[in-house]
Amino acid sequence: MSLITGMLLIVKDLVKHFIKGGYFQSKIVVKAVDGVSFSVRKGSTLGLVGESGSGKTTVGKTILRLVEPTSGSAIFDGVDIFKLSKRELRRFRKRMQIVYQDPFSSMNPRMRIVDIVGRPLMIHGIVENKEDKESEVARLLESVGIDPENMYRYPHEFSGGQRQRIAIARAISVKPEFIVLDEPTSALDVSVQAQILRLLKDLQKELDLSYLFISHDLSVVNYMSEEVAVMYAGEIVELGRSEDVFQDPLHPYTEALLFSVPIPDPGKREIRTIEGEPPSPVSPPKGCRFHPRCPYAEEICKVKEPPLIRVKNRQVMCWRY
Amino acid sequence: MYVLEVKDLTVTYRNEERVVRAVDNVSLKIRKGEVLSLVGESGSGKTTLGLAIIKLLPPGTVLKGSIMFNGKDLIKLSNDELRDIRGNKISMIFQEPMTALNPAFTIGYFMTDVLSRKLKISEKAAKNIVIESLRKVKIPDPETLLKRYPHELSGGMRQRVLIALALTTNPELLIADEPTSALDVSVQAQILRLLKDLQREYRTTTIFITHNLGVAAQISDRLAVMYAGKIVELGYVKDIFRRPLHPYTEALLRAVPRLGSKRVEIEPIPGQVPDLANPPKGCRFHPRCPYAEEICKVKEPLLKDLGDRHIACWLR
Repeated sequence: MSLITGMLLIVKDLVKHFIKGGYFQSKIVVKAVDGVSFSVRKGSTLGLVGESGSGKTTVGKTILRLVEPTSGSAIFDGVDIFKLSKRELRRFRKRMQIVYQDPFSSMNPRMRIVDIVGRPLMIHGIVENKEDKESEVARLLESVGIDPENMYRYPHEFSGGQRQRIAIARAISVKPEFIVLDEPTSALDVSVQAQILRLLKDLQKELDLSYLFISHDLSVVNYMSEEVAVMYAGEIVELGRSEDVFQDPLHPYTEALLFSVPIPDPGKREIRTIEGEPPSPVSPPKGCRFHPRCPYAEEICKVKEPPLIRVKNRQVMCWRY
Repeated sequence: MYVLEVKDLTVTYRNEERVVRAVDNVSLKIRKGEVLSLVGESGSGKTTLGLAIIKLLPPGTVLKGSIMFNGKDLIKLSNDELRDIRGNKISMIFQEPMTALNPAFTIGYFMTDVLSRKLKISEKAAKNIVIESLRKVKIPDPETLLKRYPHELSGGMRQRVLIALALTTNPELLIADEPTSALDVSVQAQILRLLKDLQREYRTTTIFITHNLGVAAQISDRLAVMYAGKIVELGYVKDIFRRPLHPYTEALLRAVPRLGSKRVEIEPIPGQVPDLANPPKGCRFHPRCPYAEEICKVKEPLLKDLGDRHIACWLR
């Protein structure tokens, strides 16, 4: 069914609560993700944007089950990932990969690049011997713009941008259909960021990849994604096509975020600000979680949480609509 | 009127037996009351240049050239003399406010202690100035805040506290090193707004170090674009953003994704920032420059004065 609608991944009512404390401390429930639903279209990119503590990274990790969800479902190509056994999951992992912000911490510093990129190939039985592995790694490195002659080097011998290319080569090595990109360019310089964003777009087209692109940077998400979900305090407050959301934001938080971004054009517009800071996921505000910072907040916003409703061609969680 | 004049400044340090020239023969004049941003990517030397002014660099770092401030060359001053200037006539704020605060002390104890030592005044007198200064940075209830510990405050609040502390001495120069880079977008906007308002009111001369072109565009009067230890372009922020003259500035502006009416394609800059222990000959940008000619590979261009703009490029 999912293929008919063109959706590769359908996430529904995803909840992830972390329990902290115990024994000597009272238990605290951290509501990192509190009931989010979204879909990723085949061959397309969904951007997930939010500030720290919004739960965006936890969403990315739970749908790959790198973190176990509390409840909800994630239907990937007709199969609920959350219901798979560990053994079944292992086979599925090949189809879903992740690239992190800091490639250095996701690579074993004592392994050579050929083994870092080649390991998933061996594990998933894509290649059987050393020669095949090396020629496949060479091909992969070439496709991400790294000279294959460097495959016998170690991670520390590369720059941040090159390491991110290597991490991407590793992710695509097993021919996945879906990749979670968790702030993949946030640690990089502007000029290198542009290279990596371009590379990710080229690979998407070439390999028909679907991305979940997680970032705090609105401009980058706008550049990368067809659709965007804005997260605040564990919830998706607005979801729609990037152009719509960024051109004509409906949720007051999206609007505030957009006006907070300092744009590289002096004198064009002043930055506008909202008060306060993102709430703690331990004790989010009652009612609408954004109401203490919202310039439009009314009585109802303080007491009752708004439902996610369809407005125009998007979804928004706000009493104003 | 210049508050600070940096002349032919070169900063070298050793990194595992390799000599690195983090800042190479840089000259710069800071005008009274202006905000001058140093922008560049990592390894451009922007932070080293900022910290060299107050000699806050690791031991073994060698400074050559001169940094004139109030008729004195800061490079030649002793540590004792510098201590009177640092955090007093020249104040600083940094990227990570938590590391600048002492986690064991309340905000009140910390601030009054620092200030009473700096200005050699009583703690009571210091406390009054501190409260006054916290009001300036729009902290609603300073007395309550003084009783709190750093970990009880949010990142934005901590940065406000440090801005307040930096302003208590009415500095002649403020050096702000990526003060909003660790903050969330909505909080970054608040701090930028605050810095702009303070600037409008008190006209504190500021050197603002940032990698974020958007932040630089919003906060600065003038801009110095740095690449591989050199200033490659210097001028009014509006002029540079409207018409960048140096190929690196131009390339940098094209590499940033923008929020706009339609999606504009970004243009990556090929290659990487050079290794400062072994920078390219000639113009340091030439291996990545689309316009590079023969001369660019062999001879280094100097920063030329074109009136309102300074530029280091053979082609302009």
